[in-house]
Amino acid sequence: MSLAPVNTLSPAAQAGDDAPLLSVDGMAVRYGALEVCSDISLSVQRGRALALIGESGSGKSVTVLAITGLLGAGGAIDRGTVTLEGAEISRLSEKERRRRGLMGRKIGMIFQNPSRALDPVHTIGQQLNESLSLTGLTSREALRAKGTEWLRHVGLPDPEEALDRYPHQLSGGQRQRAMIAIALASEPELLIADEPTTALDVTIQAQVLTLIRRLQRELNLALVLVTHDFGVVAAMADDVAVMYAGQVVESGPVAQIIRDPRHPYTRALLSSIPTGLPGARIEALPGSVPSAAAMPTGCRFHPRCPLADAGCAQTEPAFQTASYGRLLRCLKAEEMTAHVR
Amino acid sequence: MSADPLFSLRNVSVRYPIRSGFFQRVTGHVGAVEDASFELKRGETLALVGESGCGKSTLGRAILRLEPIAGGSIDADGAKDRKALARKAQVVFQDPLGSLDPRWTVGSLIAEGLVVHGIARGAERDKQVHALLAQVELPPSTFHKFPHQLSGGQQQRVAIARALAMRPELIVLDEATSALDVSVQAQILNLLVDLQRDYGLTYLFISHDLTVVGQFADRVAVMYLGRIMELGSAADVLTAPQHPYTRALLASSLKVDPDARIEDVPLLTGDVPSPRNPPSGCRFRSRCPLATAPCATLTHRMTGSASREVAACIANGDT
Repeated sequence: MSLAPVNTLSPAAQAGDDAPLLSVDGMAVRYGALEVCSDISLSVQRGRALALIGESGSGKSVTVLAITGLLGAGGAIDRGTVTLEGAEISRLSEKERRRRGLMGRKIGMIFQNPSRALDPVHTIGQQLNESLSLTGLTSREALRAKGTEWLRHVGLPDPEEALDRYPHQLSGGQRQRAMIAIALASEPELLIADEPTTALDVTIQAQVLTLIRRLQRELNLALVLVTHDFGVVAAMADDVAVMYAGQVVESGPVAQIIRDPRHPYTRALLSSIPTGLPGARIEALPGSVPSAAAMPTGCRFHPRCPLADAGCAQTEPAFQTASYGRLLRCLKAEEMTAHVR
Repeated sequence: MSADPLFSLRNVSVRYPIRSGFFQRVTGHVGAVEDASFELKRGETLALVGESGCGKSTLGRAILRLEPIAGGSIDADGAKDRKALARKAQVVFQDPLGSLDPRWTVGSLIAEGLVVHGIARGAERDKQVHALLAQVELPPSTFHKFPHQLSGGQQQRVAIARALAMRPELIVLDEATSALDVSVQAQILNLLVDLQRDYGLTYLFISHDLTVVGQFADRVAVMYLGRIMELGSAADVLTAPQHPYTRALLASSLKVDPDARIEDVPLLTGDVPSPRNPPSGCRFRSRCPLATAPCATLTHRMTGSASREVAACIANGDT
C-alpha cells in the first residue's frame, strides 16, 4: 500500500513552515472481525480546518473516534499510526491517554447531540469547572470568572446566570454553545466536531458554525469537522477528505475539490446534491453504500461507478497523488480529465 | 393543473392545550398553527418550509385530519370522514422504520390499505401489491422481506408504495427525504417526480431544506411560529423573497460554493421564541432586522400582489 506524503494536503503545508498538529497515516480500524476503516491518511495543521465528508457508513465518525481513543469495547486501531504533535498515540492505554491529558487538554470534542454529551444532573458551571481545572485553575472565584467569560465568549445570554442552569433549561442552540464552551475551556489544540450542527435549524446552524470558525481562528486551533453536508464543507473548511466505504477516496483544498472533483464518487456525490433549479432532474447515483461485512473486491466503489471496468473489480487502488497533483484512490485517476460542472 | 383546487384551507388554526398543576387543568393554549389559508391545486407540489416548531408538520397533520382544528375550515374535495379522506390523501413520514410495523412483511404492509378498504383481495390483491412494488422500483423479491432487511431508501420506497396503494390524489411528504443520504435522497426525489407525472399526484412537501424545495416545488409557503409569512411561486419566493424571515432563511442555507464562507452569512440574533408566549404583533419582530415600533402592535398585513399571494410584513414594499 503506498502512502502519500501527508504534507501535500494544502499549499500552506507544502511551504513547510508549519508541521501538521495531527497526522493519520494508513490507519485501519477493526471492530472484532470487521475492518470498518482501511488505509486512512489525513493531516491538519494549527489554524486550519479539515472536513471529513461522507454518507452514512463511510467511516467518518469511526475515524475521529479512533483519533480520540473513544472507539469503545471491541474497537481498535489495527494498522497505521496517529501522530499528535509528533508523538504516536494510536496504541496508548486508557490510563496513559489520561496521564498525557489527550482528551480535554490536547483534544476537545463537540458532538451532534448536546443533550447526550452534557451531564443532565450537573449545572453548566460544574461541567465547565471540570474543563477549566485541567488548565490549573482551582479557586472558586477564578473558576467562576473564567466560566462566565467562556459563556460570554460563545454568546450565551446572561452568562453569569447560565452557569447555574442545568442543560434542560437551555434551548438546543444554547446547549450546543455551552458544549462548545466546555470543549474549549480546557484550551485544547485540536478541536474535533462530529456533525456539530446536524440537529439544528438553519438559522441556528449559521450562528453555531460562525462561532466555531471564529474561535478556531482566534485560538489558532486545528479543526477536524465531520459532516455529510457539502454546504458545511464549503462554508467552513480549508481542506476536505471525501470518504467512501471506510476509505478516503479523494482529498485536497476545498475550492479545488468542489470546483474540479476528480474521483468518480466525489463527482457523483456533488451532482446528487439538489441544485435548487426548478424541475431539473438530479443525477442520482444508483445503489447504496456497501456494509463493512460485504465489502466489494478491488475498488470498493466499482459496483456503483460509471467508469468501472473488469480491472476495477480485481485491483485495489492505492491512495496516491495523480499527475495533476490531486490525492485520490482510483485506478483510472490518470484518465480523469478536468470536470465541467 | 386544472383551476379548481383539490383542498382549500380557510383561516385554519390548530391549538394544543397547556396543562399545569397537580390536576393537569388546561391553563391556556399554544397556537401551533394560526390563521392558515391556501389552496392546494390539483397536480401541483406545494412546499411548507420553516424551522422546527413553526407548525408545518402540524398543518400537514390537520389536512390529514390527524389533528383536530380549532378554527377555520378545510374542504377536502368533498371527503367528509376520515375513511373517505384516506382515499384522497396519504402521508409519507421522515422515518420509514417508525411507520412500518417490523413484524409485517413488505407485501402485507403494502396490502393493508387494500384489505381495510375492501379494494382488492386474494390473488388480485397480490397482483396489485406487485404492481406497486414495480411502481416504486423495488424488485419482486421484496414482497416477502421484513422492513429491517431493507436499506433506508428501500424502506422509504415501501412507505411510498403503501401510500400509493390507496390511489390518493394528495400525498403529504413530511420530511420524507430528510433522513436519507444525498445520493439516496436524489433517487427518491426522482421517483416522486416520475410518480407525479404518471399519476397526476398532488404533493404537500413539508421540508426544512430550501435547496430541495427550490428544485421540487411549484409553490412555497414559508412558516414561522405557526403563521404563514410568505406564499408564492417557488421561483419568486426563493429568488426574490419579500419577507425578512424568508430572506434570513435563504441567507442561512449554506451553498456548495467555496466562495460562500460562513463569515459572510448574515446572522439572525437569538432563538425562535416559545410558541406559548409569542411576541405581540408580528411574530418575527423579536429577531427581525427591520422591526420598528409599529411591528409590536400591528398584526400582519396579508398583502397579495401579482407574484405573491401572501407576504405578511408591514415593512413590505419599503425594503
